[in-house]
Amino acid sequence: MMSTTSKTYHLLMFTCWLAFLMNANIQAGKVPPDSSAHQEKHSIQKIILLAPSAPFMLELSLLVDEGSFRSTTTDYIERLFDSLDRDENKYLDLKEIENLPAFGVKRYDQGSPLQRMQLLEFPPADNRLSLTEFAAYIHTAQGTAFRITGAPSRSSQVIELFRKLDQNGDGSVSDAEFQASAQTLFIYDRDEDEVFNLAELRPFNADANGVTAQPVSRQAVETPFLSLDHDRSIKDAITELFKKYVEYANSEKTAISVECFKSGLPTTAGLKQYDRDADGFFNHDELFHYLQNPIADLQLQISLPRRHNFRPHLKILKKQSNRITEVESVSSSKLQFRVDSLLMELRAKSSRHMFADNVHFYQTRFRVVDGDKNGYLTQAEFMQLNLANTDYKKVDQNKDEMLTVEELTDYLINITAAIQNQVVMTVENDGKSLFEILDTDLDQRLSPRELQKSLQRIKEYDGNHDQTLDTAELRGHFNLTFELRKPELFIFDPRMNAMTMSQNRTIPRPSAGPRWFQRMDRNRDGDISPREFLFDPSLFIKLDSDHDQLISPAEAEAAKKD
Amino acid sequence: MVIDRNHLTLICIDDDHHLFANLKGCSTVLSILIHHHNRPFWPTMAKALVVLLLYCPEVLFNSPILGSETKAEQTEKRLALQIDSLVNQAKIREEIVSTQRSTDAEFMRRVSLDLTGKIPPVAELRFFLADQDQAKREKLIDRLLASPGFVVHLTNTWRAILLPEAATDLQARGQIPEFDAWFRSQLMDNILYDDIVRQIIDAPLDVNRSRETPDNSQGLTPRAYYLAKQLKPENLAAGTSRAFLGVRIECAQCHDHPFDSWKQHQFWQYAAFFSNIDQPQQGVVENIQTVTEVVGKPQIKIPDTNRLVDAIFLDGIQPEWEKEQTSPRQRLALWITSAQNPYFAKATANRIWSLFFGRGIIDPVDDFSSTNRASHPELLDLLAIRFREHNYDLKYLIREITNSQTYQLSSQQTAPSQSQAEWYGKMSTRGLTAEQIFANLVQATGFFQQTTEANPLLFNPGLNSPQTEIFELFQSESENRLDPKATILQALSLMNGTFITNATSLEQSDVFTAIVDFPELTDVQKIETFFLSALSRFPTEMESKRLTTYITSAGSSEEKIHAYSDLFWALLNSSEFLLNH
Repeated sequence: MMSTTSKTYHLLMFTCWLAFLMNANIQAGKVPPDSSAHQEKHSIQKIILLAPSAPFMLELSLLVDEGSFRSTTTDYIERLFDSLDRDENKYLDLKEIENLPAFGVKRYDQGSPLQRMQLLEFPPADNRLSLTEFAAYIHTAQGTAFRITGAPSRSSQVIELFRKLDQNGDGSVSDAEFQASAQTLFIYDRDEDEVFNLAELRPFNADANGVTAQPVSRQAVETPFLSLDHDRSIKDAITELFKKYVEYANSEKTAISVECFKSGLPTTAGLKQYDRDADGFFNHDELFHYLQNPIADLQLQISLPRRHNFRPHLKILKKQSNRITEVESVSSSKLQFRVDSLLMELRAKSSRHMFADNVHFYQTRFRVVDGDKNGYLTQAEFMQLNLANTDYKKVDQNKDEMLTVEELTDYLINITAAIQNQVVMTVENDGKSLFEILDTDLDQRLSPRELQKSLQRIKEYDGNHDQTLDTAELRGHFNLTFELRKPELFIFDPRMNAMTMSQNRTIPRPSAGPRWFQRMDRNRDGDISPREFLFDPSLFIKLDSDHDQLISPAEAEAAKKD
Repeated sequence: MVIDRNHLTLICIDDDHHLFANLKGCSTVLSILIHHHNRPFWPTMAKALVVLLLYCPEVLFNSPILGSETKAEQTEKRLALQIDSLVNQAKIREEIVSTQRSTDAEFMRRVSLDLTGKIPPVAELRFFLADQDQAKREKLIDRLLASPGFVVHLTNTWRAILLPEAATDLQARGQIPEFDAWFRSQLMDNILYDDIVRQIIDAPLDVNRSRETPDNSQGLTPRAYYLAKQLKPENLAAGTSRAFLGVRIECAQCHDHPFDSWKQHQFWQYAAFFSNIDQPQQGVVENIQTVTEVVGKPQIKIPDTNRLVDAIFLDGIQPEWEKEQTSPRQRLALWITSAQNPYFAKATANRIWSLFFGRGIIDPVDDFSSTNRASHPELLDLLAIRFREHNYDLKYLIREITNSQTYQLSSQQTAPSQSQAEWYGKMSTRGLTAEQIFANLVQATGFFQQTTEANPLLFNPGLNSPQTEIFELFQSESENRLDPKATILQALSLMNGTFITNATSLEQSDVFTAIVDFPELTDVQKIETFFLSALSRFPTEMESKRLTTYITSAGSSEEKIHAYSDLFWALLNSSEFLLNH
């Protein structure tokens, strides 16, 4: 009779072997042939672009090492799987699925386990979930495998001047709103010098002394791209759609016209089935339903290397909408096209080398910070490693207060691998910001004269000549980068550095005009405002010969000659 | 006796002394008549009554004496008038003689310093002084209350109250930028004070809780308050009770309060509301992202004893924890700001009052206790009631206080009784904060400085700006603004420091050079402009005469520039420049 121990041992061996077989397949990037269609479905990520005229649907097929990006598992997912998998057969059957949390996703929380299984986005054929299928389930439910992040390339984009001037929130700045810009911004003028610099206009982010600086990855910037995966993200998208496309809304603002989603398709036939009451409008519920599975305007495939070594590539699978023009494949990993008037540059990038680089970097640092060269790090020495958000006790696995290079390496490998479980789409906006357009003298501040001239200045940018400026007319150019998430070490924030630099910059005194003029111009914007003027107001009126409420250097010079 | 029919301003002058002046509104006078009919100056008042009867009888017939004013009308009466009425009653009781009303220039300088933290720009001053509008003071107050300067100044003031440790503790100083940004955002959105307080007490700390809110850079929170207090229940209890309730229960931290009725267990019962916050190791908070908070009934152990106490409000009521799942801090926030709370409205009103008069009606402002009596108890009650009725709107209270004649009295002493600051016979002369002194110097000299998010209180090596220098020198630990003390270093830095030297040199300065270099103007006009820049007033006739002689006596143009430089230097070093009066 076999002892309990040996029984367990055999069982363990068997499971290990099974797991090995499965893992081997996944690790090698080989997908079991019968489930390739399956994998492909798992690898779909839907994105909605809030383009100026109408929303645009993107469907990405994201492959990491040729498998779905959602099949990557994390510690958390594995533990959850193990706890649900009562019979330890590495599959969650219908009974076990009963205990599967729905994570607030409606369609995961309806009916019997069998119905629920069928309601999944990609119901498994065998009515049970494997670890990878389970991972896909969790990732979809929590939206953890894919992330969109905005990267402001320049500091002036952070301040969202557009939003501030757009008082009625209709997504465009009208002439009237431009005319009122000085009053609108007035309250931001903290030092009351009548010019607005970036520090005054931008939202508080992190303190310049770096004391409470947040990790860079948390400083998200708004982008017009929204991912559609779990219920919450879809609800958020609906809110944004209602905000953005008011012109398509019905009079009560409770529904959006189906036309809004036509998106260059010849008919709206495909959309009709979602418009259940056939009133030509999508209400909240109908929209929620539609966005679960929207008609894609463009389907893209993106492959990123992780364990395997190959060049990342990016290609168009299917183009449904005539809104896409000027498609140009720059290389196998670069692609460029226009959606309406927006220029999109897409790029798939490999960041797999960062895995090793990250580990090597800290291994080298280990030797540097090991001050007494005893081959291990104490807690104090460990602090000097500057490993973000890491507790010494977590790294020192055997808790002997001696952190060896092996322990550190183990930790880094685990943590870096976990980080790279996510695919990140970085949106960089290369268009000119409103601030840059208005700041004609390039001193990174907006002066009263610049605001006075704002109307004239933006006329050049009002592409459709409708007397208002909308974001599209400003933000014509997006760079989208797809890559595995990078370790913190490799994330740079050009914005913060630029901000610090511009803060320490002193504005030189303008050199035009007589000396008294230069000195009375206390905010150094090249004009004297009534507020800056030191003498009797009647004198100001006399000097301000063009009556624009500002004394220019020329006017001051003229006074001298009189 | 003078009666201005339009504004109902009554100035009574006794045969021998000034009795009182500038009593705005007839009800003020009449209430005095009612309360003080047996005083020796009754004959004077009787005379006043006769004159009133002769000149504007309608005033008397609409007055409470004749019973035609209803109660509703009385409550509708402007708070500013009621303030004056109550303060004047006390003045008559204490036989205090009021000084005259402040001049427009005096008023504008004072109200600008009090509302925006700096002296007014010359152009605005000129405009205000030339304005003939009778309601110009009220309009000025409204304009200043809506200015960004008000937001910045009130933030500075409130930070000093809420984070007093930032003056000395470097770690707490690190929290200033985030706290300021949050507080400013609240004021910019006109958030009411009770809401601000609730947000502070119930700041989202728990890492799991904050994750629920979307990650957005504008999602500012007042968590800096907690970090500055190092998340310790005893610090938080002491800080919140002092700032929001005006009581110093922390004196009962180690033993029962020596003078008051606070018991040691009461302090810890109050502190227990903060005990669910997970304490960081070694007492140092390095990363807010690691803070957690447990749920459930909060309890705390009194140090060095074995006593475990439950969270109980200061009024002795113990919340029931089983009933609802609200966090203890949320409960506390609601209790503190509830209309039934005996301290909150009073303590806040008293604090606001002190900002404008240099002392509280209960003084010190955070010492509400049985032994510390209010100078004007009815006034304090009234302020608190009105503050509550107006939904704890700070701007409302500030507007009414600054519109009162009590606030608008001159600081010039005309009778010995005015030296008793607590009866408001004149406006007290107050010291300035380091921030105000620097802002004034910038305003007067035109020193160029860009606003940054960098924290001037954190001294980085190599970052030796004039601002840091002045903040360091003029930072005062004394809460008493009525008794400003200047150090020798402060005086020296203003007399010989680089800042003033540059400000009065033709090559470096802005305002100085602009005035001296300007063509067209006469010496008298230039002297005038220097006075307006530094002292926010026109020179008196005598000053103007003497200084013109001084300037014109200079031989060469170089000597003249030197003379102007001396003048500007002297003005910037005068105590008139360095005080709020």
